[in-house]
Amino acid sequence: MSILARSELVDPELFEAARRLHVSARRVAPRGRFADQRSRDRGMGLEFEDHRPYAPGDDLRAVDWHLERRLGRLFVRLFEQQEDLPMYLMPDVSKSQFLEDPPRGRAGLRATVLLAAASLFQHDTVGVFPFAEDLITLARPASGRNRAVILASRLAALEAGGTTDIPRAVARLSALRLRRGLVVLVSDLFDPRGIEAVTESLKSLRHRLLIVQLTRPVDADPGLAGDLRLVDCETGVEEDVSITPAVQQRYRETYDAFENHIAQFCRERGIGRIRLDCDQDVVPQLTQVFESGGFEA
Amino acid sequence: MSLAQFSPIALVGGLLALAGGLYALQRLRVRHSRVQVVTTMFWKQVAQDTYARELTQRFRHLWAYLLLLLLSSLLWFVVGGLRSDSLPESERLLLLDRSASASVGDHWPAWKRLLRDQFLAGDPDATTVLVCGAAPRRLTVPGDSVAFLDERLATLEPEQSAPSVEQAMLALLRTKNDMRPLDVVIVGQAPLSQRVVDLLPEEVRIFRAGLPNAVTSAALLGMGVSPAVSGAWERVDLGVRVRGGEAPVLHLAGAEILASKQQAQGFYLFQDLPAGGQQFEIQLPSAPAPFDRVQGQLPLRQPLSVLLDPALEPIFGGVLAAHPGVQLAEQGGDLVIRLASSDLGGGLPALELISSDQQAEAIFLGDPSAAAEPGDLALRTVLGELALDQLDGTGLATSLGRPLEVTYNQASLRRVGIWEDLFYIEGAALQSSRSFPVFVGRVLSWLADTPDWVHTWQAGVPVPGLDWIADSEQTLAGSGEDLAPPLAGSISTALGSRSVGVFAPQGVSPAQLPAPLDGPSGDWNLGTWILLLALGLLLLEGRLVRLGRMP
Repeated sequence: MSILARSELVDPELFEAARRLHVSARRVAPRGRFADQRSRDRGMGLEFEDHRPYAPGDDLRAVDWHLERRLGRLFVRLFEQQEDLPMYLMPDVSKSQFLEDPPRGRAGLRATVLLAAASLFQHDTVGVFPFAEDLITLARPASGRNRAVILASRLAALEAGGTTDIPRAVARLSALRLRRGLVVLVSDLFDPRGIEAVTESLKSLRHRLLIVQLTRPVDADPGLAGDLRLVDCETGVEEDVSITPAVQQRYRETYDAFENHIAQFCRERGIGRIRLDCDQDVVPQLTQVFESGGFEA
Repeated sequence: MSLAQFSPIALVGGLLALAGGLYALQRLRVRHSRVQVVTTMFWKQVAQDTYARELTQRFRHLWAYLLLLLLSSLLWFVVGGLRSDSLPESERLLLLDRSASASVGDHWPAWKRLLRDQFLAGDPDATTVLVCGAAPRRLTVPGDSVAFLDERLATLEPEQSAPSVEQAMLALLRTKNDMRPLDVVIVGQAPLSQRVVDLLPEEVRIFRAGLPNAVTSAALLGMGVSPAVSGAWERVDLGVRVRGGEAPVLHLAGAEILASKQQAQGFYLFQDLPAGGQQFEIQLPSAPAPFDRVQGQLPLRQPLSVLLDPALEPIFGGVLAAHPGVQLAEQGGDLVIRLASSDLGGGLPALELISSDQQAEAIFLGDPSAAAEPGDLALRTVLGELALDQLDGTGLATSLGRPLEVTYNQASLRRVGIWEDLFYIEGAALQSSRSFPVFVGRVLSWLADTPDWVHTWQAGVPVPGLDWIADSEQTLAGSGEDLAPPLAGSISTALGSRSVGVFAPQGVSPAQLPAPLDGPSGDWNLGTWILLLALGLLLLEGRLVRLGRMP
């Protein structure tokens, strides 16, 4: 059974919004495919970058003859090489993503499609690796503007379920030995192992990282009270709690610590982080983030 | 309000324990509602941080606590037997006849059922039950339940005793000190004399439940021994009263003796039995036990030892010689017949012939037991005992030319003083009267003051001198000199073992009693109302729980 209706993801509004977004990298890995991203490679780009002394074997078309005339020595002009930005999208499709109404997985997958489409529209390579207990290779890294619809369709056809295991998914992604790029983790980060285990696993990632955190206001303040037996929708673990104002306060403190841990982790590691409110449409939220100075991974 | 089962301290202690227990449960008890959440990771952390150091939860649900406390307190009151201290408008006293009559046939189980029915027919808070065997004993007090009564009745058996219902009624008279109406219901055949009924105040009504359906069955009703009608000193007559047409059989010295004749309806007489102190048994074969037999002892009539003043030999010698119960003694003796001027047999009861100059009355009767100023009735009684009423007093007075007076008065010893002139009237001397031997015999018997014959010891009937002849370990009924053997059977005495019998009640009762009013009162006691209230609260709690208004 598919997660969402196809129309939820194969949505013209998403693709239209994607055209307005620009995902850029501060730098991309060398030896990439020619694209829109700036690279530290010097090559055939249009933007002049620098000179260097001529060395045998250099393309003579790059020799700056004006400088040779003035200085009597040969220098070649170096241009910025524009390459593609590999983007590896990791949407969380665990059971918890589809418990509520509307499911936070809907927001997560729509954000995934939007980011994927934006990257594809700027000729970048996009791979999609949904995960729950394990990582799934839904689409290997590839480019092509028309792939956006294909990816959206595949995501809509995905089946959800299982518990969240971000460390395992990260390890599996690392094992794929993909070209260094941008990993976009789209998840609520509610891993039963704890946020420390999650961030610890993310430290081992060789890629740049963008965390799209799926949140809801009720995450910080669930509004629960009384004597409750809370059942984890993924693990089935039951937790008996008597929720008093003091306990509510303690919960808020715990959640704040969770948020602070993520924020500090991102800050210290230079990791991009976008907090999406799943109760709202993701398009304006992402558009606002990118339009307010763009997003640079 | 008061409690039948608990002391006030136990009541308050119980309530505090309930409140404390419920409080603790309220603190500890958690009824969780299941809620599925995205993750429990935060709650797990909160639970570890918050509850790890807390044994109890906060106090919750004050109203639920109060409702439970009210419910449990009400039940505690019921357990404690809460009852109203306001006095019932009327009281009931149930008297269960546990005497020998109860052991006849199926009387006992039937009477116990009747008692139970009567108990249920009234208000338990106003009902007292006494069981009347050898002595009245309280079985239940007001407020006791029928279950308690059943428990007590289960171990009760009839006693071979006389009924003590009258005793209970007399005790009631002594203890009743209010004007509330009292209905007394006698369950059984125990007779109640009209005399006792007349003593009861107006507010006491008496009923009888369970009319004695065996009233027409055969039974020994009573027995008596009297001097033989034949006049033989050493013999007695034994009279037996029975119910039923069959004649009783006397077993005496290994022989079976049939009653000589039926004197009246149900009264048989065994005549001229030797008064030698022998044991005997009367049987009525057709009667049910225990009213089919009774043991007894014939009186022992020993000859009277009489000192006779030689001067009076001409007057009394012949009569005394002819009297089978008299032995003339040379010295000592039980009685003396003398001239007043003689000092023969000083200190013995005496028949004295005295000069009319010394005694104003023709006949003086001195008796230590006489009242200081005995009335005419006492005088006539004594005259009858002495057969003086059979003498021709008018003829004697005419012959003597003087009026004859008889005085009955108190004296240190029994003494009969009689003018000697009466014995010397020519042609009309007293000794020439045909009744003279009877007179002499009666006078000697009166002077001897022989005690009443106790031929049969009956359960519940006082035996003179029992206080000293009974074994000290025996439990006797009654008090003072009116001690009686409590139960039929045998009793150890200083004189040896004696049989104790019991007779059937004679008829329903001298006092005709109505049947008790039928039908239960229908009143519910306080405990029932409290239980109903508790049930209502329980339903309310269930409703609130169902509505989710209560955890």
